[in-house]
Amino acid sequence: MNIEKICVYGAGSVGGFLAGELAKRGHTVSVIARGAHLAAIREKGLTVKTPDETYTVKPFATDNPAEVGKQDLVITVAKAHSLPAMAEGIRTLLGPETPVCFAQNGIPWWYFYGLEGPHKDRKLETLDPGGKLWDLVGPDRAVGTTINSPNEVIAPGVVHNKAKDISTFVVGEPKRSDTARVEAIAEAMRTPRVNVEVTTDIRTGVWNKLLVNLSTWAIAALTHAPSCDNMSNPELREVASRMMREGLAVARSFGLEPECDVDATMEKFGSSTPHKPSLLQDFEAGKPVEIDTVLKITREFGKLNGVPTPTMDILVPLVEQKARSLGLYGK
Amino acid sequence: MKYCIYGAGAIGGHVAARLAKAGEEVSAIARGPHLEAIRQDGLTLLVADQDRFTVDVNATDKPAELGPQDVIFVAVKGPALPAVAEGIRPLMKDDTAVVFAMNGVPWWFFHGLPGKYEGRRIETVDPGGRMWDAVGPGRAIGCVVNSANHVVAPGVVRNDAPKPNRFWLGEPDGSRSERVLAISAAMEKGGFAAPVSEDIRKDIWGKGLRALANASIGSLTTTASCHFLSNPDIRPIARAMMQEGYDVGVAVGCDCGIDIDADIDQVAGSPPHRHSMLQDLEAGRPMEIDGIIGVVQEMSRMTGTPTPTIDMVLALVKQRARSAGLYDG
Repeated sequence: MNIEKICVYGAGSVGGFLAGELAKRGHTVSVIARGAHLAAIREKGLTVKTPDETYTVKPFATDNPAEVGKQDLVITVAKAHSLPAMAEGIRTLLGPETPVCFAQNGIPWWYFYGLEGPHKDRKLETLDPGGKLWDLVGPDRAVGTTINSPNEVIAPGVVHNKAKDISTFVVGEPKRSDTARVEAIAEAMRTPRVNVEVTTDIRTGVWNKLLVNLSTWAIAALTHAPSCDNMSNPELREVASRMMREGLAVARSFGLEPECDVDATMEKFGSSTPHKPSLLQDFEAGKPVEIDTVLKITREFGKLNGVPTPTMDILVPLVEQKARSLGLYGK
Repeated sequence: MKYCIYGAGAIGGHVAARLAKAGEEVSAIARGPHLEAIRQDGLTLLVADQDRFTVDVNATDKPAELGPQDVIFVAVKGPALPAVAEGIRPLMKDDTAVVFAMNGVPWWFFHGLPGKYEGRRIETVDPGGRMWDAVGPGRAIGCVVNSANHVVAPGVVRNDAPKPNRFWLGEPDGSRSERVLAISAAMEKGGFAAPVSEDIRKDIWGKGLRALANASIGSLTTTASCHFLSNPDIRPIARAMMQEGYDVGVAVGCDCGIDIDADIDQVAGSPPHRHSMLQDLEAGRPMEIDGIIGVVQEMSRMTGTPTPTIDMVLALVKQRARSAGLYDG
């Protein structure tokens, strides 16, 4: 599999950084972006600031995927709730074999694709309403992708990569046991600042990160306090611990055993520097909030498998109600 | 009789205006621009969009200037109560009655309540027992307010709806004492419904349960009560909080007797109203967390009654208020 033409669909903070790195490496990169950020990339190129250098690349940039043409690889870097609306656009980028890396937080829409067990090939209405992604893109093109890379758009067309060392992406097949496709993708994506690991168990990787987010996100969204303050409060630490344990029980009900050390996680947050989770940042900035892939779906999975989630049953509806009242949650 | 309204804001200003209009001798304690306006132009009451009148009341921020009163109406927010304990002494003579027209569970709650908790002081609503020592529970008269009012401009209080405007009054021991009947009569003359309750604690607890759920969930979700109570995922949370609070009431000797589901149905079917605690949060005013929620938790610990839902929600609400700089407990 030869990967040269890559489209980064959603070239904001993480997507912008990745597009910059891939273009610098010599790939033919197209980006799909919007608004002032898009205008700036078209006019002046995409500038990436890292701790040791600043560089500018000139990828093809548009807000209309139909202008881009068939790609060897598509990488979406977008909030999960905006993915269904991108399904038609992604379709125009696909050649016969083009894979699509869905880089995101939490549970992906293709989660049950090829997963042995009672829910095999189940479509998730919460994450893929009407099955648009499943039908227009198809789960066999999907490649699971998790991100560990702190970035921020500091001005239109300018992305700041804040990683002290190398950023890590993990890619894995939803169904195939043959890793040839993901090995090729990883090879194409690697740069001096981007490490790409291949896993044969992407779902466990998703849960590892999800459980941590589950513990802090809902509480922060309701209290507006940075996680260090919440986790230094014994009562809220207990609430966070219960959220994490309930999430772990849900993961185990699927036969998974994610890495999960509740006390160590609480200690780590309790003694960290003040940081507001992205969900709270979105609430405070009045941006659409991402609650489906971490909070809502975990509770739904609990119901699906008969796992009690009494703490989630309180916190998740409260966050959802708040998001609705503030007009930040569309459905 | 000489009446002093301690805290002539929305509720207190309404009471001051109507008592003055009924011919009682009324003074008021207020602050800031509201006080200045009352001093200069009198206190104006707008009743919905139908009626308006202005009365002259003797207004001050220095209680000592007013001298002893027959009746004091305390209508401040819970966080301001310790300051009232400091200021109220010069207003009292031996037989002064003090009506507490406040949200939540009052500091005198266990005064004269038969049972093992009789005479118990409540730390969350009366830190250090300052009200208990300054006023003494024998002066206290309970009051449950059912009246929606706002200070719409300095010196001007608007009564949002002319009905119900009901002020339940009650002696802690349930008696129809001369003083409570006199206060009721004066308020009725001023145009309020002011029935005397035989068990004011039940009325307090029933209203308190509603506030318990609506204040806390409203503040966390920034949502009007009818909207979240119509959400099938949220209603069970409110119901659980109210049931836990009900059980705490029973454990301290106060079975308020309300039908929780019917109460929720009623609020769910009423027009959108953001609970006063949410309004305080949004306006950056101190939140009455202790008197509405914390006090129930204190009594749950006192009686060994489990309150898991209240505990979790209270921890979240307190942290929300701390983040906003509106709570330091």
